[in-house]
Amino acid sequence: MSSYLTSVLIFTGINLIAVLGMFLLMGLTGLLSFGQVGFMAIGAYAAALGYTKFGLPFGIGLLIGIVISLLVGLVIGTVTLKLKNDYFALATYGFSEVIKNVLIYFSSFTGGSMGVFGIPASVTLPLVAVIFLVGLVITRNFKVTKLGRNSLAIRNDELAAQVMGINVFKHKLSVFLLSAVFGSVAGSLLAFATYYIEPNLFDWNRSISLIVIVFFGGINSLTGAVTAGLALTLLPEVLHFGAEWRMVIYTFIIIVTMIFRPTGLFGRWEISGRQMMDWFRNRGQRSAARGRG
Amino acid sequence: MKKSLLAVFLVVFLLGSLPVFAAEPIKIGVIVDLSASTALWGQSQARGVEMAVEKYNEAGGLLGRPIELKVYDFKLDVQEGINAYQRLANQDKVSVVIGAPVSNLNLALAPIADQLKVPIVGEASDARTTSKTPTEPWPYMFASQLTCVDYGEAAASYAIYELGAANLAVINNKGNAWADEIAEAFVKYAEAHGAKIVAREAFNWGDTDFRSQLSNIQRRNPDAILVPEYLQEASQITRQAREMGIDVVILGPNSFTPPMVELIGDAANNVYFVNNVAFDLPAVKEFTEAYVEKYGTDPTVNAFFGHDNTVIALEAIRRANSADPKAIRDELEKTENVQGLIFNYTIDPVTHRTDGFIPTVIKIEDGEYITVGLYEPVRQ
Amino acid sequence: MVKCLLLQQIINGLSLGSVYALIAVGFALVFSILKFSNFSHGSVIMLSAYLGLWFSNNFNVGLLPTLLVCILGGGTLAVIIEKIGFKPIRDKEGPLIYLFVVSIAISMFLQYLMTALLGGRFFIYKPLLKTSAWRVAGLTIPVVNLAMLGASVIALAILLYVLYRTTIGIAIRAASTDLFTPNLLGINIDLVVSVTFFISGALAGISGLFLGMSLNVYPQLGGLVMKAFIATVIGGLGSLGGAVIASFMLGLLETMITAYIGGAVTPMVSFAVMILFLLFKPEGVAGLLGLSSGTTTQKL
Repeated sequence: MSSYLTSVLIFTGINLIAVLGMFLLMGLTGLLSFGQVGFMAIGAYAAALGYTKFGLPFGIGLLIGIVISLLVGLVIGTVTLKLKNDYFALATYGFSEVIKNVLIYFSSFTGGSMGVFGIPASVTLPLVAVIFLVGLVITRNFKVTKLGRNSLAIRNDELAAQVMGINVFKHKLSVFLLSAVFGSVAGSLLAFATYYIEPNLFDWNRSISLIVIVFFGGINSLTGAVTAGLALTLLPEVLHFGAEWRMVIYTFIIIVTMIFRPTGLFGRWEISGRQMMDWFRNRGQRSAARGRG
Repeated sequence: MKKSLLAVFLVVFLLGSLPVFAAEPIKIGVIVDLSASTALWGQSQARGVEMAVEKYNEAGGLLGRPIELKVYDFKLDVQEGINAYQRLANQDKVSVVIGAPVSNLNLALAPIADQLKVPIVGEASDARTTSKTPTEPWPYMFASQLTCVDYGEAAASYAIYELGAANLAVINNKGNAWADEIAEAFVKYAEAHGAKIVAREAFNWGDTDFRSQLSNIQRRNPDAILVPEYLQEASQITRQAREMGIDVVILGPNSFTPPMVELIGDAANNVYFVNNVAFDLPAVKEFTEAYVEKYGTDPTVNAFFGHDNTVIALEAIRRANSADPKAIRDELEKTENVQGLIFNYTIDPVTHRTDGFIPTVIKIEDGEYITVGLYEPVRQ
Repeated sequence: MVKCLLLQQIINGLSLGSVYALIAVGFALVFSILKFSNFSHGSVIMLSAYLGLWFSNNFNVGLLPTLLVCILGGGTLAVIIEKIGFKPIRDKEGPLIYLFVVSIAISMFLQYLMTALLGGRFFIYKPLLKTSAWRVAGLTIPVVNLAMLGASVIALAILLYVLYRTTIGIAIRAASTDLFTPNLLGINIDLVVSVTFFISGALAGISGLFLGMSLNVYPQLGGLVMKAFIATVIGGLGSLGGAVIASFMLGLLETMITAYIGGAVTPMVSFAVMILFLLFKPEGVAGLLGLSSGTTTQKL
């Protein structure tokens, strides 16, 4: 595999890991958050500074990132999850802006706007793939078990969910923390895939591109979120022929798709083992029929 | 019937492909921002590259082969820029890459270029993009222009020794590495040379109103204010400062080049800025006219660097007598007296930057850019 | 020379607040009806700035004709965006959140479009005002910002009149509590939504002209809509008066932090203050002032 394709797939995989967390939080539980890049920044800086300042290996840095993200997430979540809808969105936007500005401000430790330089690029495609698959299994299991049903209940009607005996706040907080872990891991991977990180990598634009992926794929479909993640990260590469019109075409495709599929690309549809078996069996029968005819 | 048609196609195909076999083009990659906030620079740079390549192609190409450009937009996104470089090196198999004028991407590319071994000739002003350590360069990274430190020191020195400023003020975006690095060098130089920094104000990405910071600066009554910012912020700060009656000298880096005066008019008076291009050079004037005629818009300084970096790269190919990236790298390091529009380039093998590149000080008066002259900071 | 720094900083804060307020009124108006944060508001501002620039330069006209063109142009643009981008989703009764996501995609699209069309170039209006700032007793008052203050006050007054004294206003208010029931009462919801978007777009047109005049015209001009989003949320979602008050609070807050603590910490401190404010007043400024209570009563 060419190193170009590897590079593209590594960044796609990292995006997908962050998207999995956002799918749980925004798709299933219905909490619009701009905070994911904040946790990505924490993960990235924990791993990067762990290496450059203290010589810690990637794995340890990644774990430290998760621990910090959980602690920060616990505080932020406890404070902001009581807020509703757009109030929560604003508070999480504020959170990631504060993280970005803290990284800029405390420059003697974080390197400030000059960023952290000299991170070894030890992230390989198999590593990203394995972490993504683990994340995918966790997310799928979350969706199909009681946890996922609780999330849906909260999304549809919070009061009713409370009446049904779901501890709404506690459930929201756990989803928020789980999503923060996904973000943090994606951030650590990103740091060790780019050699260089700076606070501006974790800005509003990145937030938006991740949010668009989740809704493009559909808030009810994990298959949709993953497909959208793949498609929307690969598409800019395919569109290079468009030169300066590249991003115009890209955003146009997104808008048209969302207007025609306002519940996301896949709606509620999920890919499953059985469906795939059925499809292959049917295809087998069809081609067998053709062979006879 | 079918067979004869096939034969005709075959002949046409072979004839058509003959010149291609005879002279497979030399491929040059370009990574620029064409879609985000620095698209103005990116487009200008890409066109500068294009004009240089056209000049060579009209003269019969290089090593008897035509030159082909591969231009990729990276929308100011480091990951996309890395992908673009990987694609140029791996898939398009270019001989050399003309880099983007932003430091963060080049910082990320330096170690990757070390692995993929396709040289990048750029114009990033962060010294870390070309120097691995103070004594050792990144082998595949080259840059033709000044560093942030050069800008900051020249501005401070000019203010202190030529304009007689004793009290200086600085306003910059803490989140903009380029601006912050220039500001740091300015402050360090000024304090070491007996001047006083009376105000140091900061703002953040997305800010459009600087009146609060400027009020603080106004109260301190400085002799000159450094505004090391990108075009939008620099034009806004200067305009608002003049509105508030702050008429003192404003110092800046090359972001005060056109279209600054067009945007802020009289407010630009009494601005002195450190530039990497002397606009009164005959070659620069001639190129500007050709550019305006071809594209119908004024070039930014990036067009000159796009042109000159391409010339440096193509001349290295000529000397190497090969399109092999490694051979080109070796020759790039030996670049000596290559005449560009702006400068006669010699690459320092230790820093991988232009040896002895002297900044130019330009003054804005009555809406005109007046080149004061080359200026080297006073060393004591 | 600055005689009184504090007074000047208060003026700076109010003038910044005026910018936020004018954007926030239009932003909050759409929120009050369709209950989503319409980020395409920023691109209507940006496109109106280009429109006004083209008009005033090409036909060599003064401020008032340009303002009129920006108002009509901005309003029309917003209605077009609604018809193309939001109506199909409303018709299919897609989740509200998709309106928000599409509005972001539209704003990205228009920003990239203008960059591609004009190569990221910057433009500026020819001077439409005699002077850009008044200096009174050592204090500086920027004229454009004063005009924006005037425009937001007038707009708010007209809006209140329309909302409370006209038939369409009553329809809009009915729709703002529930988008689907008024349909049963014979109110043409599409018309109500179009009128709302037109008014909101007209306000964006005014913002576009004034922002273009003071800030240059460039594809990222609409980025200030983030501040309107903040002001609208803090103001108490959908409360027009709340959004305006919150805009001035935000402008003053940012200015005072910059002036007396330092610009480098402004985002950190101002977001911390806002989150704390929301914790104590989850209904925002509107809740603070009793402008709205609960979900059924009318929001100002």
